[in-house]
Amino acid sequence: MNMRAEKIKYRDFVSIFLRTLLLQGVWNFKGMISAGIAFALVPAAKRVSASREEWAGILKRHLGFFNAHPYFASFAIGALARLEENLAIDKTGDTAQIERFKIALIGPLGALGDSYFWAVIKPASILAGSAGVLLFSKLEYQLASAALMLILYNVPHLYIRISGLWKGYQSGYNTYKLLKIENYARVKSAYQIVGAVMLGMVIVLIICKNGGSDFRGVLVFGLAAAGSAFLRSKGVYMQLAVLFSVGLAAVIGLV
Amino acid sequence: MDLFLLSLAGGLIALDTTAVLQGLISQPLISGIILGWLTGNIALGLHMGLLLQLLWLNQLPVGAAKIPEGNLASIIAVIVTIRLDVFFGNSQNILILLVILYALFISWLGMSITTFIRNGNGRLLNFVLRTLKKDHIHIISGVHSGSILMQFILHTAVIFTAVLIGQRVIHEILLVLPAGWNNIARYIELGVIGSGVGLTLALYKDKKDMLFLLLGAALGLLFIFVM
Repeated sequence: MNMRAEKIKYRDFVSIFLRTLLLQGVWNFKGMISAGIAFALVPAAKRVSASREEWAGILKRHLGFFNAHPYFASFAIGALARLEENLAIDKTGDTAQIERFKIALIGPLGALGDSYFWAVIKPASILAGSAGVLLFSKLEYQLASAALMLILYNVPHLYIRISGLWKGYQSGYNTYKLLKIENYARVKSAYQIVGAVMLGMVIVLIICKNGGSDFRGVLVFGLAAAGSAFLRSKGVYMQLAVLFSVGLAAVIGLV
Repeated sequence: MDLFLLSLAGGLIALDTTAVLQGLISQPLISGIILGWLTGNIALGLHMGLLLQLLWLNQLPVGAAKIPEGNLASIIAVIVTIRLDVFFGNSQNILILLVILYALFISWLGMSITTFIRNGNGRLLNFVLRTLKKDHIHIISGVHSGSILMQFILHTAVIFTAVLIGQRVIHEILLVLPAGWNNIARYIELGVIGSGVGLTLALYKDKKDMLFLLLGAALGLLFIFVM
């Protein structure tokens, strides 16, 4: 940290972090996660405000519109806490500049978070847990696999929430420099590989364990997988793809 | 365990989907284990969780996208299965088939529930904006907690009602279906999990992914031979 007067205390960060866990509690179409941002900023806004009116004014400004991936939003919350603090201490910047900065963060935070967590880390963690459950027959090991799934996911999840808050606060307007895809490429690539390997394992384990001795079972699995993949690629609702597979299983069961 | 208490547990778990933490606790595999443990049948809860897990995996909750509520549907499906398995354990294939169909319907219905919650939250935001003009700062935290509490109550009520309806309807259907139908439905699990795998493949369609998929398949075979 550089040498500067700081109003926001460590305990405020703990409070802000806990509040970020409820970030999407009031998710709505009008402001999206803006209510969550204001809710998370309550301790910081209180600390930097000289009066109740000022405190309310800060929160009101952050209720307009904001959207981001819920974990990566911590970068924005940390940065906003810093900028509001700067504004209160030495009048650096102005509210219009803060608003423009916030709007500029929406794209990078959403794109990065969605592609990092929803499209890669979440499926990879779940597939790893599922492969473990399929691999072991002892309940204890299956439960351990499910626990592994939670660890694989929540380590990067909580890391991003905590480090995002802290790094965002340290960087202020420079937060955008942290939000480069290259900074996250290595972990993302590793999880993508884990996901693909685990999906391959899941396929083989299901075939060997459930349909290995029954050709028709393997046929149902293969046709259901191929049919669902094809239907989904054509933009068909997932419910219809599953209905197709259920129907297919019943028809082959009838033969 | 009493259905009301189970619904309360389900309501708490469902909060993890969007409103609180989002740490995968509401994913079918984990919620299946928790609900299985609460009902004294972890094995069946885990089995159902695994079966349902991959179905909704490629539905990405990006921005304001409306996606099927797979987590809520899975909670309901696991409770219905465990409660009916006591009576229809010998017809588990057809029971699972009917529960999967019911879960698909609930996941579709769940989209409307999510929209209802989001619209309600929009009204709450307007209320906060009006109240903040009078400098009532604590309204932000109050409304946030209130909204999460309302979502918990709504999810609990939906789970309680959907389990009661699903259990009753599936129970009646199973009573009138001939025993032979269970044999017809013997491939249902392979069909459902195959569908889940097919839908998940959409996330791994690059050439590089295919290579690692094959590596995973080889590793799977190795494990089968070794274990």
